[in-house]
Amino acid sequence: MKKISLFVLGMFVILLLLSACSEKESSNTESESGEDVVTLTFWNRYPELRGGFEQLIKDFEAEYPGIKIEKQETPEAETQLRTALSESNLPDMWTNIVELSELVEVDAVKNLDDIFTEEVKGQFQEGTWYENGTTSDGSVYGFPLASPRSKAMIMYYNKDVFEMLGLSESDIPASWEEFKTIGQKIIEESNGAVYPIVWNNPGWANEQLVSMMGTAITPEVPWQENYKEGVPQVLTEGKIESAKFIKELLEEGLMAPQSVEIGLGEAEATFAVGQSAFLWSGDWVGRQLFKENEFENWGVAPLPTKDGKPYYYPAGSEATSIRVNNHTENWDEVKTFLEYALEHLHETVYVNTGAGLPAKKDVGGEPPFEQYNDILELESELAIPVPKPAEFNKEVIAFNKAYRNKLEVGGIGDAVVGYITGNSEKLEEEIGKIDQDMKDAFLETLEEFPEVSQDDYKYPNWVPFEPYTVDKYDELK
Amino acid sequence: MANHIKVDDKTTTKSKSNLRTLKKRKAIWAYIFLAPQIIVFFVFSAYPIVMSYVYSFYEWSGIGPLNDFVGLGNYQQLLTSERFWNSAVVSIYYILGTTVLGVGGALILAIILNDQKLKGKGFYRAIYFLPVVTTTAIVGIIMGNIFGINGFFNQFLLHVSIIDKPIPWLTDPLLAVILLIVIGSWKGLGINMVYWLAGLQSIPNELYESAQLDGAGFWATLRHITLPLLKPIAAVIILLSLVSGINAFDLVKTLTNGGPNFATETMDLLIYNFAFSSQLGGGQVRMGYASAAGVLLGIFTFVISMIFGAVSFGKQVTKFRVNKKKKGGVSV
Repeated sequence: MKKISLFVLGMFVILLLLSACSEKESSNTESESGEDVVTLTFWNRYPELRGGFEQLIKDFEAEYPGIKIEKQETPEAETQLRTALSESNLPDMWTNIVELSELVEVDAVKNLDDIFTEEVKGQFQEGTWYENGTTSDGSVYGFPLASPRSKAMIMYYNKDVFEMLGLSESDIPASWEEFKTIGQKIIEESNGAVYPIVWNNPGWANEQLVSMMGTAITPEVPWQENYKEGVPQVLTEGKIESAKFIKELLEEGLMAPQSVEIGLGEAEATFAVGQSAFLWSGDWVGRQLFKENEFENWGVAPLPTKDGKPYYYPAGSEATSIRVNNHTENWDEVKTFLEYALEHLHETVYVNTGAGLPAKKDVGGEPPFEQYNDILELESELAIPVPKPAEFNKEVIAFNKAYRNKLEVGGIGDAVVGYITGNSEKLEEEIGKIDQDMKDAFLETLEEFPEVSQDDYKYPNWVPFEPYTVDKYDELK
Repeated sequence: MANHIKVDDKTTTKSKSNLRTLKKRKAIWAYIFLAPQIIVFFVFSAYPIVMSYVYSFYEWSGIGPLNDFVGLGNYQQLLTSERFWNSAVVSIYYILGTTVLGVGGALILAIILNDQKLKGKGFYRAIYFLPVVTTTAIVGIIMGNIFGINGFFNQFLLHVSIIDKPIPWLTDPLLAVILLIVIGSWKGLGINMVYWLAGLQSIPNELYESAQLDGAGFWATLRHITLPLLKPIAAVIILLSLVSGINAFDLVKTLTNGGPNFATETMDLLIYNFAFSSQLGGGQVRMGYASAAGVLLGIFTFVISMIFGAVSFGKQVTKFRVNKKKKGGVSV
């Protein structure tokens, strides 16, 4: 009996030891040639960058055989990264998810000032470096990927459909009325086989669309803030009228009915096979159409607006970047990769694939489709820098978090989807409630943060459609 | 004689001591074998449950230390939140709907498939059981395609001229909830059917034979023999169905994702949205708030189980008292 007891206890101890050892997985292996190979882990959440990253990694590994990069695509990026954070099991590098201030607060992200000297920073587009995006307290914490002057929504048109129906580029609509007129024509000429527009249903996409179209009517509210009055604002004439326009398109049969229940991928496919003449989306869709749908015969134009007036998108709303684990055991190898990426990434991942516009200036490369330059031109016009309160007072980062924690919903996207699908007829009332909740939470939180005032959100020297540059902040100081 | 007794005493004392040692050893072994299960239970069940209670008193994003104690703030915010109450109502509809349809439908199916004369029973049982072993997320995605605006179901209805324009099954709030209930019930039909079959097969055949001899038809047999004898197992099946209805996350996430405008957002999806998805939550990830919602969901599940348990236990107690009285025994 004693022997059995000892045996069982022995096994238990061995198992414990083994499980303890297995927690620390070594990232060093040996290559075929007998050299040590260090494996870096990298999580990517941008599907449009997948192919570009694969090429970049392939080229890098060929030049540095001692370093291997294991890339993983993360469709549920936020869930995965937060889980990894709670388990202290972060990858060596990942594409941005989770607010930078949160990561800096828990010491999870690496300071990249070593790589991004003032000289290197100067190689990037204006507006690339900003608080809680790529920098924290003036230090760099993100390797910038996409240009801040990108991600504005544009209109793609199907040239095959245009040719088939005898339409020309002069028929591309600039106003809502023109859009409806040409829409009717497309329906009639195609006997209902082609829809004028295909759209998609996620709340965030709907909020983006109505907000951008809405700036043509209410330019003082580019997104969720009114920089003239210094308060949050989502109830604007522009957003309401834009949502009504989308609903009219659906009700009048000018929008493909599946638009209210499909994602962007399905919408792209519908457009590519010629079931719709137009598609509204961001700059990255050019690559998706060309590569994923193997469709080349398309062009780009600005979105139609109420009276054909210009619209805009607040530049630098998303700091697309690579972040590095502060506790990586392979910092030297990561640094080698980032230095290599500094020279090659923007060309390989962005220009050569057409996945979007790079953050770095004067990048070489060969765009795979001719429309790339048209997209670039459009984006430079449409993505305009607006005031960023965090640049004026860093305390607003914590303030914004506290104020948004008091809200039930993050924006108006789901209310717009509900309205379009007929779930709710009282759009103004619903958006008005969200607007009021935002204002109440904002003013309530101001009382809790004495170091933040409403003036931090007021920019009297801001003129909509005019880029708000660094010197403008100095004027106010 | 006295000596003899003395020896007996010694023997008894020694054997008692041996027995105690043996018992002790057995107990030690029992604890050793139980240890892994106890460790797993405390690490993976008890600890997370306790911690979710702790988190619910903090404003916490899931990262970093717990600094911002808010007391009952999260609960207060939840209980005054329209979105939370909407999710609670959707969950109740789903739980009740899947229980009524799933349990009721499975009973009818089990009675049909329990018929001795029916041929190919095994085949039918396997067919109805198939959805149970299919991954719920896959079911959600496939059903999304079938019931989409341009999906198979609408195309079929258009083709046979039952409708003249596609029905928005997934984007009409009422239809989407009904669809979720129907698919959820269909998914659980097979397992409920197996439970009912087990119950049906435990009813002695002699009872049916005597009923037949007394001239009872199908309905009379069902009403006076089958259903009364199925009552004990019915309580278990209904309870299981109610509790499984609370976990509708994978189906809702893949079929409607809670839309349109949160019309199909169940409580478990709401918790996920606030815990992990800043886009669908309140704009920020709020682990503390989500934990508070999780605690309320736990209490909700507990209350449902207790109410149901009390009702079915109460009935059994009453029945026991009546039987005792009939037999002339002392009432409890």
